[in-house]
Amino acid sequence: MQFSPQQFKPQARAALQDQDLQQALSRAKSGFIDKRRVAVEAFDDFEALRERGKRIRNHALEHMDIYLERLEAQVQAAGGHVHWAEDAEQARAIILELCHKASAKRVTKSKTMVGEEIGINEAMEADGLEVVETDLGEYIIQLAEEPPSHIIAPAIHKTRQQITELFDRYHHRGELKKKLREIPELVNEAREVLREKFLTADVGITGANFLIAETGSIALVTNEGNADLTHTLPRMHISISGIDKVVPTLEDASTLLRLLARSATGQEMSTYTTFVNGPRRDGDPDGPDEFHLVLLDNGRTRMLQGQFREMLRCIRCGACMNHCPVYAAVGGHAYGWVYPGPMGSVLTPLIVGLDKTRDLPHACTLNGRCASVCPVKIPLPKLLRQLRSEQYREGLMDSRNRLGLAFWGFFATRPRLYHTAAGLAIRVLHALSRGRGRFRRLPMAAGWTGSRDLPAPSRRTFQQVWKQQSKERGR
Amino acid sequence: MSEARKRILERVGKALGRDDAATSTGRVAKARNDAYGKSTPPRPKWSDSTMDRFLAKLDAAAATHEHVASIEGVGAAVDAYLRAQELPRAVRVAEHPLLQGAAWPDGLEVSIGAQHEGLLVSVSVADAAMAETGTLVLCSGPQSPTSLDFLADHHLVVLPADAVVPYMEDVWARLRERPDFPPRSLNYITGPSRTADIEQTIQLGAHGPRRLHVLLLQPAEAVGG
Repeated sequence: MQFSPQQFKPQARAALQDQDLQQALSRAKSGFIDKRRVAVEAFDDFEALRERGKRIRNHALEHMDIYLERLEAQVQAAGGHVHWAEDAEQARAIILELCHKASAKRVTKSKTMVGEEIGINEAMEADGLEVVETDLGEYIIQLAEEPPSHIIAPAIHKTRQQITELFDRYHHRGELKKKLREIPELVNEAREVLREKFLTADVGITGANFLIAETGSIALVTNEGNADLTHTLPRMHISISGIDKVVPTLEDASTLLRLLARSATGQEMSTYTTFVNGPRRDGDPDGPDEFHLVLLDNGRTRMLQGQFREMLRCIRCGACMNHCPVYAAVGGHAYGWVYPGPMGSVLTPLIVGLDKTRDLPHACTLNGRCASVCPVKIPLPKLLRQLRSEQYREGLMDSRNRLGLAFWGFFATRPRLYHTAAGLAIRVLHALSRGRGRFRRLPMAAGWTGSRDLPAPSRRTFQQVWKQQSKERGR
Repeated sequence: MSEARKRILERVGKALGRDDAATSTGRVAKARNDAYGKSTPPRPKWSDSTMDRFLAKLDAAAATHEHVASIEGVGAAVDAYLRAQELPRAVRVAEHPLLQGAAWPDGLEVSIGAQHEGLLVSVSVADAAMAETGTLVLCSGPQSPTSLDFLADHHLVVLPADAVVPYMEDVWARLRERPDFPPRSLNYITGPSRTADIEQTIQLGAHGPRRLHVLLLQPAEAVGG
């Protein structure tokens, strides 16, 4: 897995110049937003549904130890095995050992963000295993040797031309030489190539959308059906999940599924929602001989403890990034790791450390759209602000920003001085603009004027106008 | 890795400020009830009948359906579907007790069991369906191989009309009564397989069935009743 969250700024700049990316992003732009809005409006009281989703997730987090133990007991009762991993390294070791035990050569995978988080593909490939991503989007980016750029639409940054080229290179040894193929043709071709892999895989790896404590079930949601072929056909099924995914009952999962599908794709129900319970049973005509669940911590217990617990409510729908103006402009790769957009800007620093993710808490305009669409009401802007202050406290902010903040702080805590100084600065700026209404260039403001004009202020400050108008109204 | 288990659970306990690990099941259930458990969850509402809602949502999910008056009639209905779709007259059928009553027409090749090579058309039986979203529910087991539901190009599902319930919670209530609940694989299926991974354009038949056709088993006296 590529790891470069510390390079957010240069990556974002490059993304803005990348024409293929901008073409793909502009095509994607309103699709998710419009579909979600239609689904939300068709639901009588979506606000109440969000509130219930929030309460379910809070309750599950507040009793996480009890529900995890219950889950474990139920998975074992169904004949499955549960493994615990404190970090990515332990999780990789568990999965590699299981693959060895199964004498595996070929592994099929259904999209798992936790799998991306622990870098399982690289580890398995280095171990000599053939790893095949089966979600079409994940398959495309696996061919392109790229990380996902969106948590539910991993290849959203790819144009049809680019996919045509990739399929030509890998399915036709570059002999097809067509510039652009039709979507049904491309989907069919991937279906045929991957069908063979499904039927011959030794191990299937999936994630888990939810873990249900009551029954020991793993919930899997897809539209393609690839998760079901991945868990049903091979000899061994390994599911990997963060410990945060546990919920009490099947009924609780039902509420969360209503939120997930609508928030993610605007569907009322994804095509396939499956609850997996252990391995094949006596008399079952199909299914794997072994089932293993790997539970991963990797920073989640740390989040549970502190002021970032609310982030653990996340059900990975992607609505926050779909509604984020920063994500819409630069796409997912600029964020430099597995989780992009607002949820990623919170999660990545909390998992890998604030020192390696300096810019991420600032990749936000605090417009609040993410929080207003989040199905479990995570206050993302608030969490990003908390990360910023933590960064400041830990001395991780560069000296220029610190100095700027100290300068601003000096004035902001002295209102009278602030108003006088602001009034003066605004008059000077207004005079300097000489009636043009904007600045094309300004000393010390190149960061702004490099890509757009700076509007010139009017002659008076807001407070001055307010004061005068109140006086006039009072008369 | 039991060391890891111990440490993770210790950290969870510490994060939650547990003084003793033994929080009783009863206390947890009460906490759930107090937080949200006692109220009915917000759900979609409709004014049509449960069956009308189910069929409308089934259609919206790009599945097709037809009414079949009796289980004997399923054989002829399947055969007619194959002809209409210009498919070879061969089907793979789940070993379900209900389907033993289907009268398969002469010349229709019927084989029984899980996946096999070149599987094109499968027939299985749904254990429940929900009107909320037009979803079929199939439980794996000797009578219902999961591979048939995903590997066929055309998935034909026999659905007894009385198995259609309004909401997902009703499905749980119905299935919980079964001795083998939960099955290894409990599948909620809403229309045929699809993907929007290329240019956000929906394309049917990604990895699973390209078509989902429901044979709604509804005795004649019940129709329009």
